[in-house]
Amino acid sequence: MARRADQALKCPSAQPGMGDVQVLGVISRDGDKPVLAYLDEPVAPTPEMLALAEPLPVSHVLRLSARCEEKKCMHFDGARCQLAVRIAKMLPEVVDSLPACTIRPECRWFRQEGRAACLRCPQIVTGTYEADEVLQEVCGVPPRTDVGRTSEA
Amino acid sequence: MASPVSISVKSFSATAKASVTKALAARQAAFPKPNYRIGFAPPWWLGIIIDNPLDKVTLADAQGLATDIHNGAGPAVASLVSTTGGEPGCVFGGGHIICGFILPPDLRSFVEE
Repeated sequence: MARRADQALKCPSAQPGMGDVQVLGVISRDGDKPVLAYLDEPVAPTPEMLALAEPLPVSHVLRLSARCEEKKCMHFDGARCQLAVRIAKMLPEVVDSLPACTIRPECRWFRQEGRAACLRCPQIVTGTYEADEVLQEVCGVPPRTDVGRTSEA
Repeated sequence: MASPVSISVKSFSATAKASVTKALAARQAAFPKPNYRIGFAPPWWLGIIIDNPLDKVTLADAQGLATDIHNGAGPAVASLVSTTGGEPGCVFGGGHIICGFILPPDLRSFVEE
């Protein structure tokens, strides 16, 4: 039996096409800012589910989880996910208790940053289109300059 | 501070549709009176130019619109772009924004069917 420390960890802010993708939740826009509504059970995305996001990119409507790609990912420094580090350090808490998250035992962000990541996680929208300057900095996107390129974080 | 939100699989579809509707409405609100010109700078760029003298349109707004344009391009363009790696993007400068998508370097021309 694999030890907990040896388990493959999951990224809670993944893109379609990554390995072992599941739908973590839906970006709810009922309030002032988008917030993740966590699905109460793990669901593998079907083409029909992904199509619900059209004409928006999937990541604007759904939060996906997937196997952490570690060295293939720009946020991984060889040992830690620096995106999770920045989220825990730079963003405010947005919920008062741990969300009912289906991947917490295997979540890279939780394993690394603990409760601090979970209390900030709901405000994350994968991709940067709606992000304010702080969130763009957290995502590792260069601050606004004269030239901006669309980029998914 | 808010409590975490949880939804059931049964309400997934309705929540997702509501999210899309609200996101599109918010995006439309960012461009209440579009003042733009269609631009095509062969072979690099296809999109629109928005006059933005008051700097009301943010980078995030423009990036979202660029993606919309990329996603909504005509079928002939979209198929070429998807197979050759076009990229949505935007440029701020001089009181205006150019936003749309950058054509792949090897794509010199296209024909809309």
